[in-house]
Amino acid sequence: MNCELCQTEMHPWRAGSEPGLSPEVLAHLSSCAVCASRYGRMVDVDERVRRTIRSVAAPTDLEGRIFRGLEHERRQKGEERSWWKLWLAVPLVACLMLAAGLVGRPYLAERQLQRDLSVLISQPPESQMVTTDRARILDWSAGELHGSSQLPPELGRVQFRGATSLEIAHRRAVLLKMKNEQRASLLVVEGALGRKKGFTFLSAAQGNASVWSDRDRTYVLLFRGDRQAMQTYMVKMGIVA
Amino acid sequence: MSVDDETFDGWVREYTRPLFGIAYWWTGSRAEAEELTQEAFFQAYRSRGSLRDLAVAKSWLIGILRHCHAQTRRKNQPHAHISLDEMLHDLPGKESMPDEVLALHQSLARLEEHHRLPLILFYFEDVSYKDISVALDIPIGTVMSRLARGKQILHRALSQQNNLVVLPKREAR
Repeated sequence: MNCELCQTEMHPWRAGSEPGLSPEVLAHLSSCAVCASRYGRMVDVDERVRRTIRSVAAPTDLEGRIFRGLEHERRQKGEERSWWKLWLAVPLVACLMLAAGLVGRPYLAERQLQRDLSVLISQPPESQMVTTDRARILDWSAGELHGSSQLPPELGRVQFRGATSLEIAHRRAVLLKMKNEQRASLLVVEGALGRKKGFTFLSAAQGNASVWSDRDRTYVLLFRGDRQAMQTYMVKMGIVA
Repeated sequence: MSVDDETFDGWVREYTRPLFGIAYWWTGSRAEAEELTQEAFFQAYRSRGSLRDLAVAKSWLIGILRHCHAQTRRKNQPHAHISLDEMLHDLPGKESMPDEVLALHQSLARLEEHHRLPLILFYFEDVSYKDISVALDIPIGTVMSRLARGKQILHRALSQQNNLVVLPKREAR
């Protein structure tokens, strides 16, 4: 190894650090007095420089300033996160409201129907159309309800004596009074109300009602009398078996 | 890997002093060094999610400090062409500096930045060659060659000036 190469290799060396001086450099230093002297000076200068560099102290309040800045960063991040959470909550709340609407709407409609039926049983309105002609009454009803004049097969045997149009549970409806039973009348409501399939029995202070629906309409048999009498009438008219 | 606040606060306590020291000798200004150190910690906090290995936190922080330093230099581009003579005159607070500190500033000012940055890190014993390589994003071989060249220039400058160059006072512009 020559002197130039030795100096190049010894300069990056730092005491106590890896990699250490190579065996070639060490061998050259032990045999070359000039390089050994330069090496000694280099170590001295390095030590002086190191002491000088490390003598510069950081301001005592610098750490505190950094912590205050970080606190600010964290607060801002927290606020951003809460806004982000709020925005995330919007579709969630919308979904919940939609679900509540879908589940709660039939229930609310049924409650409204029950209230309106109680009033109808206790205070039946006057007929707007008075006739026993079943076909005319059904045609008139179809006009009021904007739909078919047909009744479902279970109502094929009932006859009517008068009809009134009205609104029940915020829907259009017609009330048809039965011909052969003064206590009974049939309410036909637009749209399917209620949550259950089949017949639902409702009780009111002045009587009872039996409710059932098909795809387009809801039918309510109103009866001013006890439930037993209503059921007997329904069997008699072939509404139920 | 996520760095929790407690760990990060521990780094602030441990590394504020060395980072300030490095920044001070890189820039030659206490005010700039304070600003750089703070900015480096804030940027590190924002990007702490990118740190893959906690064991290299120190070199990662020094790397961010170097990035902030480069950003500041780019921002102050018009001042980047100050002559060496001007730089020595404009050293902030040089009147109150101990002689050896001023001499070192003057000698370091003679070095190109790519020699000065690794050389200053070299004088912090607890910054390993590997840390220097990671922080400056250069291979270890390049670190060694830059240190060899940088130290030769520095030692020559220090011996030539015999500790301190006394510059004549300049007239106000």
